[in-house]
Amino acid sequence: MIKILTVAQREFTTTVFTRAFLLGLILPPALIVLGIAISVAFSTERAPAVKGSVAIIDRSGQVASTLTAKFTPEALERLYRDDAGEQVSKAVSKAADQASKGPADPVGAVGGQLDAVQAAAAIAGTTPKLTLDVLAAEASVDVEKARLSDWTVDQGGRLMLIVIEPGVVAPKAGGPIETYQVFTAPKLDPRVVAPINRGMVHQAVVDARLRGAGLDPVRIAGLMSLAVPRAAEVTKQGERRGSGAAQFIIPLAFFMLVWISAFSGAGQLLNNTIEEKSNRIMEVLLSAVSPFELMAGKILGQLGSGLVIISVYAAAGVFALVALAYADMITWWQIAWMMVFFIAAYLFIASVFTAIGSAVSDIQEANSLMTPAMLLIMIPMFAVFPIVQNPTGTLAKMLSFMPPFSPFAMIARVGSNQPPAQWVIALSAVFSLAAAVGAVWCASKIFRIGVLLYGKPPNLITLLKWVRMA
Amino acid sequence: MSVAIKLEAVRKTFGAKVAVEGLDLEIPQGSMTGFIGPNGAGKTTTIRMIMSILFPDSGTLSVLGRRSAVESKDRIGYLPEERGVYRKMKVGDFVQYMARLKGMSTQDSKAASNQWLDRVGLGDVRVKKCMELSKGMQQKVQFISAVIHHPELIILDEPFSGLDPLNARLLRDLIDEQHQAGRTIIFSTHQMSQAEAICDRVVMIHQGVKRLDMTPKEIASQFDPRTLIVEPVHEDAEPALVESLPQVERVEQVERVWEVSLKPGAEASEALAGVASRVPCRRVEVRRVSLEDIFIDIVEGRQATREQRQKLREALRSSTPTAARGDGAGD
Repeated sequence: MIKILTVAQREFTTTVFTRAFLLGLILPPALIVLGIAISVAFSTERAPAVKGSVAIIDRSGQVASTLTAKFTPEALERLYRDDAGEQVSKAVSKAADQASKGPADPVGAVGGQLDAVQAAAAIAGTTPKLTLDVLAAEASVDVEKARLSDWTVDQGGRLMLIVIEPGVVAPKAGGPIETYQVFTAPKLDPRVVAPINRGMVHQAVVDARLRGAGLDPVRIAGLMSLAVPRAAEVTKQGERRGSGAAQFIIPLAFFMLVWISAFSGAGQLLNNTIEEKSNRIMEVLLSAVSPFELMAGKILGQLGSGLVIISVYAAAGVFALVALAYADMITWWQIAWMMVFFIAAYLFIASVFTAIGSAVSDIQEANSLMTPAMLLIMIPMFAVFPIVQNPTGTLAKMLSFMPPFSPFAMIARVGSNQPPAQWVIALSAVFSLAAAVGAVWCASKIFRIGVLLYGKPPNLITLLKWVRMA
Repeated sequence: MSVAIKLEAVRKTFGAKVAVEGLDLEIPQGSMTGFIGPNGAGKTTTIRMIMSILFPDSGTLSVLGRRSAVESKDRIGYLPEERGVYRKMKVGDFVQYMARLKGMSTQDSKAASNQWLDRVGLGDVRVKKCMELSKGMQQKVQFISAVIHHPELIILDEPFSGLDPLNARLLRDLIDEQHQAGRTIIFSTHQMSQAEAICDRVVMIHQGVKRLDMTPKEIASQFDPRTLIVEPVHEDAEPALVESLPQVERVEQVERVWEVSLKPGAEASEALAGVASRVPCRRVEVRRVSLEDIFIDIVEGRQATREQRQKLREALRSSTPTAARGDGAGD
């Protein structure tokens, strides 16, 4: 036993007390957070700054005039800068002001302001520079459509054509409900199209219908302007914003903690075992300890390193939850179960990796045996999202009792908002641990034979044969 | 017990290859035995069987009175032919770790590690990483880890390989020291001069079979080459002058030196006096038997031609260590 502990101690200290380990502990999460922050900051749903004209054939005669009133550079700026949905109401009120103040010739008014605002927009450079082109109502759709395919990013040209039939604004009683048509130039960025389509034209048509029904669009818009409230959760500590997202993040976090810690420790084992073989230190070690003592010590030592990782991250996570006042979302028994399932997951994976490491002499040879091990790694990854979304579903329940996936499936369920009953968790834990012990036993059979074997690495079948040997 | 290791009719095959055949061996306690033989002779296989790393196909084996070396791990020190270190560990830590694995306490292992490193001149590199050491330094460190825990039995497989003459001499002295302290030592080597210098028993293995098992004295008397080495002062001196001596069988001239073979039963000292009186010589000496010569004699027979001997000599001196292959075959 003492020898096992001696081996374990060396394994632990040479893994954990290194710069690489500490950096690996701190850097990845820091980098991930930084990466997310940067990509959020730089990502944009903004449309590219293309230039061109939006042509409209308004056969209803009701829409074009309001549209031209709205087609100001400032409105465009706001339209493209913010969420299309939210901007509708703002654009409407602004256009309403202008319409009431503007002259009878909306097109002229727009044209006059165009130069001034375009200069500003040019400096900003991030809003499409669009002009409105009102075509004659009798214009041929096919002819006008054809010009769209001539549009280029550099030269500009006509990039959109909107065709509004009379029936769109004044639907015939009992007739089909029509909508207007939108044609665009090829490969036009949808982010340019959507705000014009959904934001401006759609609203202009609806406004025309309202006016046709004798309603005041401005008044209606005001009545409809109502924000949808966010639900507030009432906890014993008081109220807080809804924790919707957190309810999915927390089980995911539990899963990731177990996954990262288990595979980190097991990966070290693989590398260290291969190193001991390729450095030819194995024979010296085996003159002092038995193969089982060596293997057990290494597995124990790396269990320690995995525990360091999971404890540090768990502590950080708890700290974050407390800081955000979400502390009541997790309980101590969840963390306790996480540790249990981590041990089960780690032991199983560590056994597989140790067995592989003992059978080969260098890292390249490990690749051929790693394929089944990769399955071990990837399947939980694929399964975690469905399980988190549906903790009581079939997939979740099935995997909960299928080692080696059971610890992962279970811990995702334990962290979710529909955790299973305690006895179910305990049963899965027993299964997982039993499977882990079995894996260690099989690994020791392989390790015993593999460690002093050099030369052509055995394949999977041979490894299984070794397990069955006395 | 007076016998540290006993092998009886041990046989080991790897597939079709017979690595060791019908090996009988008795290593008395406190003796220093040299296992000699060329690469591939079966030395490492034999050692691995002693260490219970490999197991014989047939025959019996006992180590320190037990059926297997596994039961006496902490009383045995082992330096395998293929030996490495933990490259990223500090030298002092590595030696200490090895000592602890052999059952020494943390305190004792630290003290012993420091002591030994100083003794072999590696005191300054204690805090360096093992990978920063030269090959010779690494070998010394590995040797230390084999003996640091005061083992009763020390088994060294090719301890001198890769060492320069200075370090080889140092190692030889260290091994001798252990011997003087009463420990049983076996070491294998294909450089027979190493064994000649310090062993009190020599075991010669060739192609899996034991060809020789004697003390140096016994070897000297049995394999007296009955040859004089004569280096005449004048290059043009006539060998015929010496050939006509009654004790002389024949004279072979090799460059500047005459190898004078004596007739069976001839008295070497008389022949020596005779040669010296007939030819002015720079040097006349009785050629000392070397294990290499004996080996060649045994393997090729006394009638071996010079070319055959030279070939075998070169094979013996080539210092490529055998790598342990998947089937364990090799040495």
